[in-house]
Amino acid sequence: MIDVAIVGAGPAGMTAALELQKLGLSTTVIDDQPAPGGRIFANIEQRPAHGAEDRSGAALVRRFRQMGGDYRPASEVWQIEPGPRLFLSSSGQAQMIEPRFILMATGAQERPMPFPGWQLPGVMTVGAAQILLKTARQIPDKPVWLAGSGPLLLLYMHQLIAAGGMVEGILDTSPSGRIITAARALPGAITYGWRDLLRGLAWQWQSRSIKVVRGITSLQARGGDKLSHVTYSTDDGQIGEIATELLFIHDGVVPGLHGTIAAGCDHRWNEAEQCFEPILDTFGRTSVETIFAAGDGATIGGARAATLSGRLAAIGIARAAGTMSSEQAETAAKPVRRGLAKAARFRHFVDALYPPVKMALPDETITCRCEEVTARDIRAALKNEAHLGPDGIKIATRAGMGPCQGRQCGASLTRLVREAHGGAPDAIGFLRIRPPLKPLTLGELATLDSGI
Amino acid sequence: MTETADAIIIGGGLHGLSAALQLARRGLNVLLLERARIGRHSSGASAAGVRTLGRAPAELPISLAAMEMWHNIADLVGDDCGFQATGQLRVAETQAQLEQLSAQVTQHQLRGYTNEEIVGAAELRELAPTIAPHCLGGVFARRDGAADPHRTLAAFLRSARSAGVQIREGAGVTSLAKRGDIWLVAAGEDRFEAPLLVNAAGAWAGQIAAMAGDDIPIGTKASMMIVTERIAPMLKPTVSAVGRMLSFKQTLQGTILIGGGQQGRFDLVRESADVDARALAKSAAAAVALFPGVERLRIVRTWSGLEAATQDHIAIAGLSPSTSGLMHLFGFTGHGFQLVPALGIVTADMLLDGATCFDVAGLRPDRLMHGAARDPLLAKQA
Ligand SMILES: Cc1cc2nc3c(=O)[nH]c(=O)nc-3n(C[C@H](O)[C@H](O)[C@H](O)COP(=O)(O)OP(=O)(O)OC[C@H]3O[C@@H](n4cnc5c(N)ncnc54)[C@H](O)[C@@H]3O)c2cc1C
Ligand SMILES: Cc1cc2nc3c(=O)[nH]c(=O)nc-3n(C[C@H](O)[C@H](O)[C@H](O)COP(=O)(O)OP(=O)(O)OC[C@H]3O[C@@H](n4cnc5c(N)ncnc54)[C@H](O)[C@@H]3O)c2cc1C
Repeated sequence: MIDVAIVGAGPAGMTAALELQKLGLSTTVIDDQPAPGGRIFANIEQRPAHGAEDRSGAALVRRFRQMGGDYRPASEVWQIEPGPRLFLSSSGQAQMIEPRFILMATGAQERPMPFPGWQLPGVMTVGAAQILLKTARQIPDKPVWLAGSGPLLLLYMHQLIAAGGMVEGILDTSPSGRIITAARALPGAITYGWRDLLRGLAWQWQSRSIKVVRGITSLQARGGDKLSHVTYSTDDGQIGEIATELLFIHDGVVPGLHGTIAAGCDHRWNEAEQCFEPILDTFGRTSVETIFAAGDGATIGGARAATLSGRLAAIGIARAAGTMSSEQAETAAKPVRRGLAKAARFRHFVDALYPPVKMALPDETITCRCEEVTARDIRAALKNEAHLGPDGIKIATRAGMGPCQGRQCGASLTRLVREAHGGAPDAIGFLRIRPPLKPLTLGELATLDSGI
Repeated sequence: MTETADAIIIGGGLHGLSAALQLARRGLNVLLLERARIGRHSSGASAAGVRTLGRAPAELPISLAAMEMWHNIADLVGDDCGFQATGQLRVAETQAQLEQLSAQVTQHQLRGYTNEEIVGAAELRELAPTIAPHCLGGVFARRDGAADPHRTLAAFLRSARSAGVQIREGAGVTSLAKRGDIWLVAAGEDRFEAPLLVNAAGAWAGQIAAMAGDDIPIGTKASMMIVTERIAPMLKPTVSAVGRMLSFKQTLQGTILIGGGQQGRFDLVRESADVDARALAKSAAAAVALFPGVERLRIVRTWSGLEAATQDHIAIAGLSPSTSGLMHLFGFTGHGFQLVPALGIVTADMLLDGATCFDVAGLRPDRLMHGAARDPLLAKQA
């Protein structure tokens, strides 16, 4: 029997695996990507390392490869059941694993940024564009407009320009004047040292050639079958229009909750970051005894915090497994927790600079893209239905019933319920997640049947 | 403060709504109490198959009556509920199964029923062109079909409301008492009173019965469903197979819906039902065996829904034998959707007239109750 199944081979998962092995526990690391590295270090073995962060990532991947534990790339975890039991599939074959513990190190997802026309071809998330850049070296051949906020927007801009791409302008949705608030947190951030980000910022300030429109409060993508224009309004009442065929959007990242929700872990609302997070104890243990969580899937902290929280969860698991005493675990955890506190200071900087913005969600916005349900449909369903929560809307409108399982519309549903009936997000909750967590065919599921 | 009504319905699934609708249409002031929200359990999770095919003799008369209502469902609730009379087909994969089916259908027809007919290999392929080549034939119920559960819920809810039914969601009944002929119903802090009571509390109806002093032992079912991505139209009837737990159909949206009674995990206290992947794999394997072409279809979602099951797999619809003004309406054991329109009328008849012209003798609650002599006919079917 395997001691720990780790879902995700990003900085958190890889670090936890290395640490657990040191602590004498056996691990299986399952990841849907073809190679280890996770989001930030995707494809790192095949591309040149830029800067200190990339070099440390490449070193981590090397150590992970040399560790020699069970590693299953290109494998998708699609269900977690009490036991714990974990179900995965790879190359068309489904399989069940029954480890003693599971560590969810499944990373972040981009916060969905719905506005009218966001479904048009030509509008793409920065995350998707970044994957194309990192893994396929694909650079758009036309000038790009960026819209949204968050450090990754700037980071991507930096990466794209370095790779030879063209950025025409930014539609900045963070409220005007935020930079000043953020400056107060800057010293903390510099000691933490996300150099790429700061370089991106400095670069943006110095550059004259990139147009910047600040204080965007609403956006609309227009065009027939693909994007041709973007209209916007700003907080000082301006209305404008730009012509572009490419608009890359980004509104920060939030924990990718589907795994921990499906596993039955309790979550709570993080008001500062406007997202739900799994509730963890001081060792990264969720409300389900056998399930731990680490990295950006637990709380957004960036790659370095992900590494530290992976280590902390490994200590927590060793403690729960009885291979480490409580005192030993406390001693081992102390420096790791100090590191995490430092990383959190950096987080404050990001929070101050990019508070999650609430752009208008006009009626005509296709909120659920899978089932093409508009905000108008959802508002109509909510009218006079005080007991309708996200799951009720799903039944009433089909929003959230499609293949993305509410990854795109889940947050909007919580928001629209709050808008209609008030109430705390904790009381409203998030959509219930129904398996499979990841794409699975009938044939794959059938392979699990032993025939008995 | 206490709210009073002529009748209180406990449970806002389809049966509670249908009973409420009929009572309100007969002029009563009706209050429906639902612990969660309308359709939260079985009725919202249902495959919504409208099937007379293979019904147990005890349920067949009311099922046939319900079938006639489904063919005119818009007359009842102002919407067709997505009902399509695309038929239900039960497939034989071996010669022995085919012979067994033929014998059963012959018997059935001899008793005077015309809802089922035998189909041979050629007609089977007309009805289900993509079915696996080894399938030999089957039995077909032409007037059967399927509806859309959420449209059905919406239509019954709308009709009940416009008939004047008061709906309280988030009102879970916590205790029952009787003062003379009046039922005193508590839902947490809230108090309600009415002379008539309907127990349509689905998986929890046994608890409600116990609160009223009736000991009706029931089990729990947590049947599971799979829905796939959409594909071009390939199949009209709902298909099941002898010896397999499978129900397979294509919805109007183009998705493939697979059920058949494989059981998930449940927790009555937390009011939750969850999928058991290993059991679900058997449904998928059965689907692929019968329709090999669907192997590569992506599963969009799976789920499980909770309801009550009886020992003899037959529904309970009848007055309490021990106390007046109480109708039990539960125990549908995985096939209650089809009975919804008819049992609402039965409920109103029984509560208001003490009798109904529909034949529901086989659904009496006392057949299952502690100490009751078991009806030998029913015992045999179980
Ligand atoms: C779109 C996007 C772009 C980002 N770009 C950058 C960047 O350029 N620079 C930067 O510093 N930070 C970036 N981040 C933040 C970065 O993700 C984190 O700082 C860091 O990668 C978090 O590490 P982690 O180990 O928690 O998760 P990740 O690195 O995200 O690793 C999680 C891994 O788990 C896999 N996984 C998830 N669910 C399953 C499942 N069910 N089955 C199997 N595998 C699964 C994922 O595919 C992934 O490989 C980005 C985040 C996002 C969402
Ligand atoms: C997956 C699945 C597939 C199915 N497929 C078919 C099919 O193809 N054909 C068919 O004919 N049937 C089918 N059925 C069965 C059918 O859906 C059910 O028999 C029918 O919906 C039962 O309706 P109901 O109103 O009795 O129960 P429910 O819809 O479960 O309603 C009971 C309600 O009572 C409420 N309640 C419970 N306790 C209390 C309390 N104390 N106070 C207040 N309220 C309370 C619950 O919250 C619930 O909403 C299926 C069922 C499932 C789960």
